Amino acid sequence: MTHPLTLTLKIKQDPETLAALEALKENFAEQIQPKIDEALRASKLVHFARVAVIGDNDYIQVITEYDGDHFEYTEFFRRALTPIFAKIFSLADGVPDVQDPTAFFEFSKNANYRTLGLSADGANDMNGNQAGWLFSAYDHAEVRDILGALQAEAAE
Amino acid sequence: MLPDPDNVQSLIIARYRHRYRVVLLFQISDPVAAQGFLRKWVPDVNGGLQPPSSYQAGLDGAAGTPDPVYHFAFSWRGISKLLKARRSETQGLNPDAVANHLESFFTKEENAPHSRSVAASLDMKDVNAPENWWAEDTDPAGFHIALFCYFGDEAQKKQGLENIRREATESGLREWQFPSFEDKALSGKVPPGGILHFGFRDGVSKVEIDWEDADKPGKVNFRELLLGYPSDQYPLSPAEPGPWREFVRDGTYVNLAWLYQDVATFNRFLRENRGAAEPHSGAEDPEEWLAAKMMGRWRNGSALALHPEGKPASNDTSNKFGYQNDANGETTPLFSHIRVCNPRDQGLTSVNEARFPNGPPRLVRRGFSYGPPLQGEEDDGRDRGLVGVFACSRINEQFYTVVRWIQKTSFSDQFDSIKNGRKRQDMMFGFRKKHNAETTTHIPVTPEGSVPLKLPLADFIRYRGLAVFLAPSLKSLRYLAGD
Repeated sequence: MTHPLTLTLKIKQDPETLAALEALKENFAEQIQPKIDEALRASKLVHFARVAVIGDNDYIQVITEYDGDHFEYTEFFRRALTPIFAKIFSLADGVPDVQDPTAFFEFSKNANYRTLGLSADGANDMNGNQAGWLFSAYDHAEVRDILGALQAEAAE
Repeated sequence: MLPDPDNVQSLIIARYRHRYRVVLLFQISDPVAAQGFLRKWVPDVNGGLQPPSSYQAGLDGAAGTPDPVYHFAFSWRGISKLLKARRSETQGLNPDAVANHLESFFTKEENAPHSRSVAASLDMKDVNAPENWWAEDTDPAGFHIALFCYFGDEAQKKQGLENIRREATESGLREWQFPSFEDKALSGKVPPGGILHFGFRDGVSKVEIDWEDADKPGKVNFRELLLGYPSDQYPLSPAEPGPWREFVRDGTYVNLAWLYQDVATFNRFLRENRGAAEPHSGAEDPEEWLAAKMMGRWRNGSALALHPEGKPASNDTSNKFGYQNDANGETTPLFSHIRVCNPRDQGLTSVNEARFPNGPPRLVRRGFSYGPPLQGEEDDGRDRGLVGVFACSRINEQFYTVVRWIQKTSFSDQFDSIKNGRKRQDMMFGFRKKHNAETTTHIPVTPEGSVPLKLPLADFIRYRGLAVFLAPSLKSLRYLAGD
């Protein structure tokens, strides 16, 4: 089952934070993007991922579509991307210690915004309610299913 | 820093000889009175690896009837009430400001086992839904104290329960009762020969703790069990040193599961599929062979991995085996119960390898069988099953992870080699109506290349209740009691 993550953080507007944001933007392609790419590729859980700053440096978003249970893999991503999350979370108020699994779990959960609409595949949100809508062109096939099919096709 | 076994409640690090076991669940109305109750019983709670009347204590006390033994665990609400009663905030333990010092799967009602979020995460739906747990009018949020009682015989149990219940009432404790049990509490006894309802011998799989932190082969890091010793590999909460870490140190989370076993359906499954199993069972009875393939052990407890051709004449309780030479599950099927719950040296997915650098999550299991035995395929309408006690240091990362693996076998790359391998379930235990689940057996048979046995599975085990407690160290137990 595929779930959406729409992690949205309000960026602090003090000069230090805005300078850190500019540094993040500048270094993203060369320093941050490869690390996220490596971790997500190894996970075989994440379909798509992107990081965006919206408004006039008002919010930063981490948006993904991922497989598996909401509560199962948070700790993996914390471990795999600790420095990256530390950088992104430091832009917002109420920053958790990313070394602390419970603090990280709670912060991530609370910063995730439910999508509009209703899931059509039986998915629940993190509160156990019917999840918001997530369109899937391939009936919520998992990353591993898709990779397996592609590999099989390539082998033919 | 190493743990002190003498400060750990023996409940989880030793095994008692007592045949009769009861779990009493209480709600606190007056925390000060509740502390009075605790002070009467807590001085007799055992700590350490060799408590009296345990197998570890050797033959001392093995003859005659052992004295009763009691152990305590508490829900977060229970702990909060007791801490407030002793004004613990003056010592840095303010329950209203616990924040992220403890796992939210323990402290937050919205992440309790019966909550919508966790029930959805664990696929507790339909027959397993929290609405069907416990008994009518039970409010699991009111399970404040869990009292684990061990008795040597019926008379001792009767007297012991009378005493506890009288003093509990005098202390303003409300007991949650369960009418389907004769004792009106979760209670049972060790069956003759340790044989459980499905006919398997219990108590074979054991977790040996590495108390010296020496990374000894075959032993389990104590951090799988004990709180208060976080490390890079075990990032346990509280992450910060301080009073909360001191409070939980040498304690453990205790996950209490009431599990109904549908013996008639299991027996019918074996009989109906006897013919399918017969060509593959060799000298073994086909139903015995099929049961063993589903469990991963012969019914006498001997591992298939050590005895692939048939069960040994006398049971072999050795746990020294792995699955590296059995990648495809030809001996011990990939979806057998013991292999799903503890995949040992079977490789995990890269995500899970990163989550569990020391190997698959481990649980220390205690518990007992309840209800009368049943032979045959006609259900008698009586309640029977297991009361499981699963101890660990991380509720979500260990206990809930194993529960999820039972429901969906996607934790290892090995499952990719099998059709729908990541959508299958533990063959003994799974909610078969789970969305998109593949609910048939997958039992490889010889000769190599033959089509594996594909038999339709039923819900042989159902959840009747799940609750999470903290079994504190002896030091913290005394603190909660007001000493």
